[in-house]
Amino acid sequence: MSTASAPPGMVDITIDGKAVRAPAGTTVFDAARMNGVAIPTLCHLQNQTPVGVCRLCLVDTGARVLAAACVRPVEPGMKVVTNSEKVLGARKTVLEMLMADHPSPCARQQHSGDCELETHAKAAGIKQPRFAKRTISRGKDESSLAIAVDHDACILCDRCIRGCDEVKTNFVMGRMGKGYSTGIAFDLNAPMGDSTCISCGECMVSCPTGALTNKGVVGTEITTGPGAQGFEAEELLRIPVFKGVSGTFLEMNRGAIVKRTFRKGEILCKEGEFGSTAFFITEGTAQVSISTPIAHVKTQGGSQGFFKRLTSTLVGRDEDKRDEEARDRTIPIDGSVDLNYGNPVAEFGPGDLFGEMTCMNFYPRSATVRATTDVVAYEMLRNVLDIMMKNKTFRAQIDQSYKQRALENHLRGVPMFSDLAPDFIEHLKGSIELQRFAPGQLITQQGDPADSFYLVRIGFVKVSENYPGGELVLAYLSRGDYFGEIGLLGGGLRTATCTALDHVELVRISGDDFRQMVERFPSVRKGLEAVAAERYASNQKRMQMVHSVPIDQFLSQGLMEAQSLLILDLENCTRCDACVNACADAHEGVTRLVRDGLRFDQYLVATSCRQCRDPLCMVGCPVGSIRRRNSLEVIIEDWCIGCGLCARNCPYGNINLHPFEVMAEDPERPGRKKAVIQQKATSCDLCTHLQEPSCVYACPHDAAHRVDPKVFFAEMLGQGSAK
Amino acid sequence: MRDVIYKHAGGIRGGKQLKAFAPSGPSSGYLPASMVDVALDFTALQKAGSMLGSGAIVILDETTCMLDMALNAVRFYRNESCGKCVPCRVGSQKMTDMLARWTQGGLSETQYKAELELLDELSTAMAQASICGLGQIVPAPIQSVLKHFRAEIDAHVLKGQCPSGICFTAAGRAGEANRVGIRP
Repeated sequence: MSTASAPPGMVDITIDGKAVRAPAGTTVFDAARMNGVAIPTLCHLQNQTPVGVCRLCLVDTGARVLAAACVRPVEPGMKVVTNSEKVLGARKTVLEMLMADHPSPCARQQHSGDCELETHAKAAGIKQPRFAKRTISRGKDESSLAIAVDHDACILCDRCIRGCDEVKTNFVMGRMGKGYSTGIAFDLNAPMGDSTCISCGECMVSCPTGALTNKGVVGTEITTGPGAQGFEAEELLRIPVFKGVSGTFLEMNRGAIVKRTFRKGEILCKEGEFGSTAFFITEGTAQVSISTPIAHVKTQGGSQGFFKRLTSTLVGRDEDKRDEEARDRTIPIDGSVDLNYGNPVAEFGPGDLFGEMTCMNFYPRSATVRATTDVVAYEMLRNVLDIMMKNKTFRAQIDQSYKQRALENHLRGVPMFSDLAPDFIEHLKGSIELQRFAPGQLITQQGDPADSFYLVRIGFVKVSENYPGGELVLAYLSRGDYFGEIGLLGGGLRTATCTALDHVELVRISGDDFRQMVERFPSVRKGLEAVAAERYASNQKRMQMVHSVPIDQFLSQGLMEAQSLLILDLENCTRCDACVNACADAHEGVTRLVRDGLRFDQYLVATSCRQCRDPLCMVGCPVGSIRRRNSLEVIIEDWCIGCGLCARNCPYGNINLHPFEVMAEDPERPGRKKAVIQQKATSCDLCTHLQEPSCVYACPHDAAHRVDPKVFFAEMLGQGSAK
Repeated sequence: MRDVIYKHAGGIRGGKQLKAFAPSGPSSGYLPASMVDVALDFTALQKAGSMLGSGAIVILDETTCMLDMALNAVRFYRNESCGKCVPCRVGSQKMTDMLARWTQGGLSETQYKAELELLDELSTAMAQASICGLGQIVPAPIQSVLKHFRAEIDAHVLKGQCPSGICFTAAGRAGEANRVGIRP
């Protein structure tokens, strides 16, 4: 034992004769654990406040009675004995008492053989408890759809209760009764299924025994439908990538995974549809494609005479180049490959997983997948995919598949990386790291040292900057976007906070690799620096705007960011709606403006895209085709699949879906085409093809104006001179 | 103690003989009549293997069955257990079950020996592992009865006889059947 006295805040004790130093306030249990002494326990969990009720972690501290190590703090000079006959005897008797009342083997022991009570009892050498068995059953509760309760298997360790109340703060569970008839209870002892329980499952995963078990949700919609086949968990476990997944888990989640066989030509999933499943192909190949025309909506004027004929047509970027349009060569989709802009078709084969975004984040399908041979695929819900992703074998295969097939495209999809040499990409394949983030999780924090560069693989990342009075969302990044370069190229500190908005997966390139990359490839450096400078400048510009206008108006209306507002002078306006009609006429019956909105003095700010501070429209686009230009305007890229999510997300109703009749492959008769309606999202284009926006032109009372809000409202607010 | 019983409390009703007494309710254990001259103070009682706790004195006359009294006390503790910790919640029930079975008799010598061993283990565990005083004191009555009135318990368990004529009557059995197990 050391003779030096413990420094302040530290306590010296002995555990089984061994000198141990621990911070004051540490429990004996933790002090022992940190020094490699395992003390058995049933009621103690790392993530819950210790309660010391099971009395299995008993230790001798020299006091009159034994102490529960999980609640007993260390004291100077304490001599702890964890393995004396007295201690072991008391522990064994406690276990024997519990086993006498335990319906052994309980549901958990039967399913997975890992009931904690039975495991401890076996280790203590208890075969047949000598005490009388329980005579009166406390009963079972099968009322919940998801969780079965066997009160007889319950040892009242309170782990479920703390899970429900402390961890999830649902406050549904508690104890009822007293003494030997005590039991866990939901609400005021209501049946679990009738209680306010939300079936989050925290109690079940906290339970050490078979008292709370998963009922195995069967009969969900995914177990039926085309090509569905039943299968046994063992069959699944024979497939290499499923190796290591708990058979019990698969058995209990029977309804959440289904094996489907698709015949050649059948469709596995369709772009734009909502879904909640991911597919894993084990046999056959399938083609993945986007059938919506790769084009954006353009309104074209006919002659410039009095009778103008306007038409809306679909044109690609090669025919109609718009300002700052993305020149990406690839279209990001929800799978392990990216599609080529010119020919958006690729192939999935055995070992490919697709639909992860739909499954984890419930975004619409990003592409259509059609079987090119007979295909066998496992379709799974989120709970199964989540467990699969935690399985090392499966995870390794998915990561490998990404590195081999998608990383290069992903990198080269970012224009300035197109010059990377193949050998460097090979090097990156070995050194990058795929990281997963849960919704709301912080990725980088403004002001922290920058140590890595990230590419977004799945999900949405919110980039925001703090300013006095609030948070300004700078951008939402989705697949194919990258961040972290400003910090690495600049002062070495993060300039913005990045948060996972939903289930996010990132490709992390370490700071060292990043520096190596910019040193070796000057063009990459140049490109990155240009973009970083641009991003930085536009962020600064926006921050300045934030500072130069009255903050509440800015926050409540988001007007100051708008480039061109349609305002209606209510003193002149007769509410004739000619502006709305004109807009509809200009865009084939689909108006992009509504004569309603916020009022500012005598002006009505009509509903038209205002380039919000927090562009909600961009969250969830399954193909990443809606984004901000550097000028802050919202642009919809050519590969919009018309799912309509952005239109639904826009709080101001400023994004519309414009239907077009196009020729597309007939799903019933492969090889032949038929006319179908395809939708495209559109937002106000300011009628840039005309001399004046249609709405302004059409107003008979000179009430409609298009203005630059910064100039206009500056005057309005009395800062400038009158017009 | 003698003064308390015979002088201050006016002696035992009906002139019956003193059999045992508990200086501090069942928690202090039962002492036999032979120890009636013990002084009512902390050290003397501690020396006698008892205690001066609540001071609620229990006096038993010659017609009482000591096993029945021990069972009665354990059952009381079981009913009063809050149920928080395992040794008290489960242990008090297991001890009740065990003593109730002893009052039914019919055990072989080997069975009895095993039962006594188990009772000892249970008593130690409850006294050492329970969180509060209630669980720690549950074994006291039966342990004191085993110490001072062992012959009476042997008679019950091995010969099926209750020296006081309480346990093996029809009324006793009917009452016991209702009392064993948990309350609804």
